[in-house]
Amino acid sequence: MNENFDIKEIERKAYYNYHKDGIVDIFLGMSIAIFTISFFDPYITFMIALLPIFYRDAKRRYTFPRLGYVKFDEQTGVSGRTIKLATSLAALLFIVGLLVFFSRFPDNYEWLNPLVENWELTAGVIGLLTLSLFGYTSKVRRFYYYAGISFILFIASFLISVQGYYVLPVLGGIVALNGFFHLYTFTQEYPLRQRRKND
Amino acid sequence: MTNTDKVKNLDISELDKLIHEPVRLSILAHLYVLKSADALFLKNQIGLTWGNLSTHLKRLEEAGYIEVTKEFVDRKPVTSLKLTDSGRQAFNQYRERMSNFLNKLPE
Repeated sequence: MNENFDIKEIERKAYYNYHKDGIVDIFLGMSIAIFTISFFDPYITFMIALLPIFYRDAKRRYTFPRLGYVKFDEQTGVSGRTIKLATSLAALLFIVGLLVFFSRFPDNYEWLNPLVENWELTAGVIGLLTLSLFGYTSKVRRFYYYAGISFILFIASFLISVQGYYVLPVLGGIVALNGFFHLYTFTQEYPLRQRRKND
Repeated sequence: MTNTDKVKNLDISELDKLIHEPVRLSILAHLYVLKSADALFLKNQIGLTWGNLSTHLKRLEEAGYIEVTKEFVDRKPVTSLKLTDSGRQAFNQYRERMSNFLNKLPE
């Protein structure tokens, strides 16, 4: 038996195990992919709204039968963190929106020109902030690595003059592949048929 | 106060014996931080056998420290375990008393 009675560590470990399945990574990778496709076909953006439904279904199919069912405390757990994350992302999107809006008037806001001209650097910083925010609110450390990879990819595309649009599908692919790898190891670590008959 | 006096003043009888058992303490600690969980989740988190877990869960339920409820999640029945108010109170009291007890120990 694990005899670690650090209360915060218990909560952190439970939450970490809940996301050990990599499903959140797969869906984040898919969101990035859909976001990339939306540059070419804006109507596809609505698919992002369907992802939470598929996410819930994937959790029901893969996580609960293997790891067990759990509800986290609303103040510190999943719901609380989701609200914090949504609020933080909304604030970040609002700032990005303001920048885009001001960039339509280049004569009045000349200070914005370097940000728009070197958009790969701007996108790199936004990616770093957004994914770090995911890591901070969800307490899943993998997101910090994704934030670092995203930043490096955008900086590299800027330095070696590769079209920056290619960075997003590559990033989405890395995140989703890592998610599938985690899902595979999760299913090996927690096989089915470990429930009692009367449960 | 000398170290010998300090040791004489230590009273371990105040500790709740039901909680002062590593497996039950771990179960209560998990349910303290989680809103609710089923037995499979606790089994995986703590690393116990079904038999061992059932025995301890039964004792905690009999003491009124945990509540077992049946609910439906996505149309599937789930047996949820939750810390009761008296369980939370007993756990907090145990933490306080254990902490006092350890603090009183001479260096």
